[in-house]
Amino acid sequence: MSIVSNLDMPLVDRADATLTRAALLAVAVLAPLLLVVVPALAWVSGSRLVWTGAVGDGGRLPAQLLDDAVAQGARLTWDGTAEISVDGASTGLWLAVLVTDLLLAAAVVAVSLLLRRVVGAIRADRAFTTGSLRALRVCGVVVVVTAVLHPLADGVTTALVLREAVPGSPWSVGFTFSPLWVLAGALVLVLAEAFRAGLSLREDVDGLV
Amino acid sequence: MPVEGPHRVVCHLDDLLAARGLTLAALAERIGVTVVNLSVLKNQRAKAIRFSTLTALCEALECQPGELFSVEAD
Repeated sequence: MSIVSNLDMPLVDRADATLTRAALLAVAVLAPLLLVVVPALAWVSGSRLVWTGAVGDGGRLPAQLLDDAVAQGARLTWDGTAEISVDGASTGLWLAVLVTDLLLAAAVVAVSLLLRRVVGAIRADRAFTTGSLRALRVCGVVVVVTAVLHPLADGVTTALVLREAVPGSPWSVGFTFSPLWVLAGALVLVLAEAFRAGLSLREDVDGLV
Repeated sequence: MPVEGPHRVVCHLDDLLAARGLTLAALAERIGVTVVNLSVLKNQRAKAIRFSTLTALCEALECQPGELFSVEAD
């Protein structure tokens, strides 16, 4: 438990910082590739549109699973999520999918690059700067806003995909909100406040001999 | 004058070093403060000084704080 008791010991050494920054850069590069570029290429090449979303009430098991005998005391439930694939999807549908994914990709890129900057500043003993403070504040806001907007966009896109995949289905937009992401964004904003206090303290000792 | 306002404290380290025949580097080595920090002090860029640093300076330069610092008239 020396990490907890030895408060002078830095948790992040040079190798940790380098690996973390490399991982964040990889995420910033891969996220738009996987979330936006790959689906866009699929659209351009005429491939089928594949979307995963909530399509029904959870609790009812899809029929195919009822074929398997369930052991006594075991219970299978379905969370209502399904993968929907559509051949020859409309332009509007492809755009809805790409915009939803772009929203998430943009948030991931922004947060990854900003956190990368903060990790670099911490490693260089320049943690409490206006740059780090601003980066953390923007990160926190991006996470909170995306935590609300992305599920909304996802719900609308799922409804559109379902409408095109099952033309007779009723128009119904679901919204699966995860408070954990809002909490994560709030945590980053609280951390930003701590950095603001740190910046003020640093300015107080600037020029101290 | 509010505490948060600019100060008018002047450091006479230059004069004392010349009077004692000491270089900045020699003083820095004698009292265990970096040349950079002493340079900050000498060039009037310091905003605060630790009492431990002040004590070490006065001992090394055989002076009192009042000889090292003065307050300029407004």
